[in-house]
Amino acid sequence: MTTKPLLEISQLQMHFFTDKGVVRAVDGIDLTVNEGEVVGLVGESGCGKSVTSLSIMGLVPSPPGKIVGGSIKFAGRELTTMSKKELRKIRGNEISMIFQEPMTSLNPVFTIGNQMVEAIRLHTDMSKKEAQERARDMLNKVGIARADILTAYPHELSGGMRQRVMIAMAMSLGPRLLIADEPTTALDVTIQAQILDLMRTLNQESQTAILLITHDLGVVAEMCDRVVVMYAGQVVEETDNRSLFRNSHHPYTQGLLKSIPKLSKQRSKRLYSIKGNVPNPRNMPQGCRFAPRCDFAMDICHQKMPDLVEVAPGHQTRCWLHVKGEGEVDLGSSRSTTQCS
Amino acid sequence: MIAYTIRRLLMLIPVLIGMSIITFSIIHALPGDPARAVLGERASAEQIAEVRESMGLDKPIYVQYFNYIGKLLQGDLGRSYITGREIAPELFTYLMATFELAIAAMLIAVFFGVNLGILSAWRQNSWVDYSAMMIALIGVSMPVFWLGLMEQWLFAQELGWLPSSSRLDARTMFEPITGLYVIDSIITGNWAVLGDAIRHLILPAVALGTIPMAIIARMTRSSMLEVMRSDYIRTARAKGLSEFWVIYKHTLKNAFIPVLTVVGLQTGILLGGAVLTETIFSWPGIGRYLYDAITSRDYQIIQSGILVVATIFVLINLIVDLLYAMIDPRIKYGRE
Ligand SMILES: Nc1ncnc2c1ncn2[C@@H]1O[C@H](COP(=O)(O)OP(=O)(O)OP(=O)(O)O)[C@@H](O)[C@H]1O
Ligand SMILES: [Mg+2]
Repeated sequence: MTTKPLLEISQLQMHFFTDKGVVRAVDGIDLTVNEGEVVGLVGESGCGKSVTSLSIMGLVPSPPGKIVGGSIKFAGRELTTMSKKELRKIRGNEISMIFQEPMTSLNPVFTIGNQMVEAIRLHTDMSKKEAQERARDMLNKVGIARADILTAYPHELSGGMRQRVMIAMAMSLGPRLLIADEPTTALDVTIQAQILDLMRTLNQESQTAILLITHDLGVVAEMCDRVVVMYAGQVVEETDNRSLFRNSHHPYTQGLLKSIPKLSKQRSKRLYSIKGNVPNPRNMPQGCRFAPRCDFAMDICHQKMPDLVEVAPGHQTRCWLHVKGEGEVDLGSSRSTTQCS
Repeated sequence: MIAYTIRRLLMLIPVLIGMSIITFSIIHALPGDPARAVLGERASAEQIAEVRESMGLDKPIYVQYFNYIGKLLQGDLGRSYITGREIAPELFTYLMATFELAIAAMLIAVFFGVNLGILSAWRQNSWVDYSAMMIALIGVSMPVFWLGLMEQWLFAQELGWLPSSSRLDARTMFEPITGLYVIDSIITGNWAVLGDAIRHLILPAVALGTIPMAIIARMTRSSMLEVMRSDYIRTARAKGLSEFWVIYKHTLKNAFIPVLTVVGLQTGILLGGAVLTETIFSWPGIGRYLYDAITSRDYQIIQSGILVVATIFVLINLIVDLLYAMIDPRIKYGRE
């Protein structure tokens, strides 16, 4: 596998300016996806996973959303300053996206064929016939062999089928990056496995890199090469698949791992859950954002935000426990992302 | 689609029968003797008996009804006892004049209403949105007669740009075919008449179309805003489609479904409301025809006119339902 970076997000800040105040949905994120790699983006509901992915696509509703800082580079090109027209050429073509809600992600009043052909013809100069051929090929690849699929309307298909259509549509132009925002959350377990299998096959066959957003660590274990853990708009840990499960450093990541239900455990034992709730995004804690819920919180944790530091090659974490000379402020290496709020 | 259309057409039959019974009984529900109503208070007994016979009033009521229906099916609406003329051809001419006016008004209303609504939704909460909605608010609150009179004063009297009454210039000679002058002049390639007909149409059509335009604009705006938030619009954008296609293809087709209901309702209301506009602009339409019939108590005409107008309402409803099925694939396949 090459390690050429395809997508490089650095210090991205994406805020929502609402009537009730500023929501710092994404607050200084760094994230890299290399060519052909599968990267997992995990975290609790509301931590900013979807907003991050929509920012890459330039699809955050604006207003109220606005990128206020940082950069998103795709294959060397800066996306945040690109004109809308140029961005549209990349969208759906080089970067494509599938969403969490297969039931509502297809337009109910157009046929599957119409919606697929439209995307193909937009980015190529294929004739209608050729585009239909391509659409049919892609649908075959994702396991839909129905002869009349191109003339079917979304309401005639099941959720799993619709998600397959979405994948076929997203893959029909051979994108270099596929962003999948919780692609299986709304589907039942067997369909879920099929869809994940399909995505893995596509990744291996066509070397499409995948940014897989999920809150299911089981899915991460199955699919991902590397994992980025988000908490309250920030990256708190980043590592490869193996060390995530064997050697995670951040108490939040450890908490997430402990919350996975295990079949072998006695049934009577209550499932572990991280105490407390995600902080209100309009009123973030001053120090480490996880501190109020952390079992190991020290004084410094409540006062100052830790930086993301490398604890091993390719393994970074944002936690005072892992800063040199534990618990002391190491001003020397401060690449501060702290903001006064 | 064809099966659905046939089913819907069959469902019309009982409705039409019901309507014919109601209009038939109008004459019979009147207090006193229709023959006397026709002849006036001072008619002699013989005269009345004669008229009763000629009206078929001496026969049993169900025989009268079937006679009435039988003639109706042949397009025979009888004669007016007051003018002595055949009603059907006369009614047809007036009806077509109203159609032409109503269609023009509705085209204006839909075109401007829908685009104003789209513009508003697209630039929600901007000055564009506020001005468009201000126009819509003024539009709904403006009385038709006042707007009509202002138009006449400004564009006909002061500026002299457009004629203020009737369908054609008095000097224009023209033999109508369908009775829709715009269509007729196109069929016959008579461009001078086409221009004249359109010039005469503009002012009354704008007067009549303004309220529906405003209502359609508001409906389109709210419907567009709702659809724009949906997941499939996000998908459309994620494909890289331009804003124009996202709005005019993906959003509008969905947003148009509730707008269509309003268009249907407004078309009905517009036909009813045409009488004011027709009076102000001396437009020889069905509204004025019926108005005159009511003032002269021409029950024969009133009866036929009501039946025809009611049938048109029902047909508009049918057309709207068929359009629904065309736009929204989920309807067609619905179980009976
Ligand atoms: N249009 C918006 N206006 C204001 N705030 C928003 C908007 N969209 C998202 N947010 C806020 O941004 C934050 C991140 O939301 P996001 O949808 O990215 O979460 P997520 O990690 O994808 O969660 P989930 O797992 O539930 O999908 C949330 O606090 C949310 O309230
Ligand atoms: Mg999400």
